[in-house]
Amino acid sequence: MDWVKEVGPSGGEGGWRDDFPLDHELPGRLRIDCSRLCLPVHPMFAVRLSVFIDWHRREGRDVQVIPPADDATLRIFDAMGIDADRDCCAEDDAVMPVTRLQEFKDVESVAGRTQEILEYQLPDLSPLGAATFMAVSELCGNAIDHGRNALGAYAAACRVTAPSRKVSVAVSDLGIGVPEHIRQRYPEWGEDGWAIAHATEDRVTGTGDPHRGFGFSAVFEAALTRALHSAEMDILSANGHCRVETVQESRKVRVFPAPKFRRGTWIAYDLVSV
Amino acid sequence: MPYRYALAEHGRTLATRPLGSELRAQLAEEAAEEQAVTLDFSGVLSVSHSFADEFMGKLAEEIDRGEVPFSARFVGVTPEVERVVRKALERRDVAIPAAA
Repeated sequence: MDWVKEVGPSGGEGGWRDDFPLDHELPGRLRIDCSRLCLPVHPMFAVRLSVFIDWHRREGRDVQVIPPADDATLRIFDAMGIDADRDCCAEDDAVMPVTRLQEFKDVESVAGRTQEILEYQLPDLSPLGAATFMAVSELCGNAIDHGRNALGAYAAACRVTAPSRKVSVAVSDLGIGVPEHIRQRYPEWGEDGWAIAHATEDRVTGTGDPHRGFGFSAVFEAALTRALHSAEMDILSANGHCRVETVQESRKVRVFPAPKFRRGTWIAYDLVSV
Repeated sequence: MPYRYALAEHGRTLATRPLGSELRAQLAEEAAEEQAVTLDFSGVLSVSHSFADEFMGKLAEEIDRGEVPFSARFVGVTPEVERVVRKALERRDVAIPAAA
């Protein structure tokens, strides 16, 4: 019997709404029906669906994806390169299609390319190019460094023009996860959401190196430009969900109960332009 | 005449710790007989904090400890690159001055 998942029209909202289980117990034929999906397609949705497809195909399952029926959504869907079985086409809003990263050289490549596209091809978001470069380089670097796993890490970035202009970035890996990594040094931080929140602070790292643990701070600092209206980062890992909101120079960290356990680390970062 | 090390030869954007470590080792080898080095960032669009820490932060510590024979100054930075470089140096409580 096939396993069928129907993605709702708002599957792209923040990318978290639909569940794509990485479950060894699923049957051999999986079908994802994206025919009702509408814009915007958040890069986290694209990353989550891509990871699902790649993970299950590696396990030997037959995964079929029914693409969106809406033409505009289909263009972005294909441009994001979600399903390797479909042709990838160019589309301005797909700043960085879903990209699988295996080593640090891949991080150099995607971080540089993303900034150059924003700065030279998308003038409405060019002032956010440096902030996006810092986010892609630091978050992808962390994913390769601390999130080692057979599939590697995934990253994607999109431009959204309505209702506000923003660049959205998604980075994921199926590695150890932020809470377990941090608890190597701080075993007392037992609650996953708060462990993630602490990991965003300066000098907090699971490596034991006092000069590490600045990646998140560097990302938040780089966003403090006059071109930024606000920024929001969601970090989901294990049973934790932490959100960091930046408005001008004030930063608010909130922790939510995670809806379910998530293997690895999943980070969505939205930079909203003024 | 200081030895000039052009970072843009390694990319317009410099993003990761391993690249920072590789370039620092390369510089130490190339400038092993030099007394002064100019780190030329002309043409570099961006550097990440991780790269800056691994390249500039650790290089400044090596200079302070006398592990490399040269002193260093940097030139050609954009304001954004300079902000990241200075922050990386500040976090290690070390300094590499900008060339006048």
